Amino acid sequence: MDQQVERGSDERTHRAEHLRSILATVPDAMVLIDEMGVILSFSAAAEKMFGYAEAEVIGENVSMLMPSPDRERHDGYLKNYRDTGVRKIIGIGRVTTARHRDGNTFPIELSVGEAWVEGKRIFTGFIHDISQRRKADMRLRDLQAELAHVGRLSEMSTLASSLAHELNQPLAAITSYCQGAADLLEGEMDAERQAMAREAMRDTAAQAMRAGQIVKRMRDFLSHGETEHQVESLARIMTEANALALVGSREHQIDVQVKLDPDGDAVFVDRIQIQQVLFNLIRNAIDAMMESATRSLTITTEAKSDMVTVSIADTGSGIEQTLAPQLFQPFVTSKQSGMGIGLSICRTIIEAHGGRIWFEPGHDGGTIFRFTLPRGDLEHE
Amino acid sequence: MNWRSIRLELGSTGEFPAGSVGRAYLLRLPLDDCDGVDKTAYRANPARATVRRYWSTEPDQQGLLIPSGHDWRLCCDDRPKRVLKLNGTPLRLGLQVSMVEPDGTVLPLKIASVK
Repeated sequence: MDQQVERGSDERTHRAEHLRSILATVPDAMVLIDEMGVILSFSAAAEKMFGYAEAEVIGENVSMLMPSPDRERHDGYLKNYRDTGVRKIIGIGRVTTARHRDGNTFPIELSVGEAWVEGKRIFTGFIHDISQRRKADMRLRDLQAELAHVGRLSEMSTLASSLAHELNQPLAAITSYCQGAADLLEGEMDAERQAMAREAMRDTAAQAMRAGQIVKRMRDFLSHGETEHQVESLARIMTEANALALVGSREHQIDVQVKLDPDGDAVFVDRIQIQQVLFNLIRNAIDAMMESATRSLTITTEAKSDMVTVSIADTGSGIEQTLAPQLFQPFVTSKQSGMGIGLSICRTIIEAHGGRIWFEPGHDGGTIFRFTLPRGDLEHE
Repeated sequence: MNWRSIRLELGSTGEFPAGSVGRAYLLRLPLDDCDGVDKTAYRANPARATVRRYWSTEPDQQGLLIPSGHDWRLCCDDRPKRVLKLNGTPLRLGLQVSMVEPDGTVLPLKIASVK
């Protein structure tokens, strides 16, 4: 009997060692936690990826591997799952951001599995560092953008010609009506001249309206008028946009801080478009800090009445006075490369959401870009 | 350039007898040849002396390090101030310094890395 127990125990030990040796060779990091978020096991790949030894992190809360806002919310995520059983990530996976011991963040693909062992629930997280893949994706995107640049200029030239052609007609008419009205006003006024001048001004207004409609039609045509506005979590949007935009920030030693107002988490937006805005603003902020001794990026949100204000503050070189007045106009840029349409796109997107975008000097140099979005916890038509 | 990133991790306390790597501070300070703070370099660029606080399950905090006698005050937004007490201890790997919390509690911090 004792021999049987001993043999069974040996087998279990052997199997555990075998499993451990397999897991040690898996390139993805593996972190095992209990249902309260306490780390139970930390693979060799995880040690390398995060910079901690397994012995140091056993017993710690897994949230230590995350940046804000996930760090302070993770206990809540676990509680929510324990209470409701609703899966937000288990078996689904997502792209998010992790933090190394040195304080820098990096994008990861996280997959989570759940198991019951001896009556206790455990979660296994498989973490894949996607910095390199994202870097390659971004390089490819840059190359595609450069290739498309020439094509876009050509298309824009065509577009500008057709717009000029269409607008020339009402503009010429406006000029001629205004000149006629001016001539009429110079002479002695009688009832007939008054009526003619009034008629000329009415025609001027009608032609100006027509010009406006031409511009609106062109904008509708270009935007296709297709956006999907729905209630989204700003924290989720931010996490995904950060993961992409902060690629490479680690090697530049950029401190990133995210402070989200819990009252402003629900926003009524097109998720992809807002991620585009965040991506553009964060990349601009990083570019602006390349020559700075202090490189600190702070992203905050604040709920106010029916809008949420998002602020992206950098400690870069600030905006040149000469560029400031027309910064959101297309083809305005301070960069060596780049078409200067990023901020123009941001403005178009934000205004299409009923918000506004602006910038102001930072408290200690640098720039703060702010934009507003409609809150999603209020009623929308 | 002698500006360094110094990571301080919570040392042994009643609550955490083995210390805790999930509770840490990341300081940016200029160090001299003896691993003390280089005050001349600091005065040339005080805004560069920053601190990040990573505390398990709490939001990150970020702010400036302001000299106060032999100590350094941590100014993170409008939060109550903490004080880093060096007491002449060089900022060298493995040594220990202390942090005075807003409620007066003194926490030991190990110097976990200097880069």
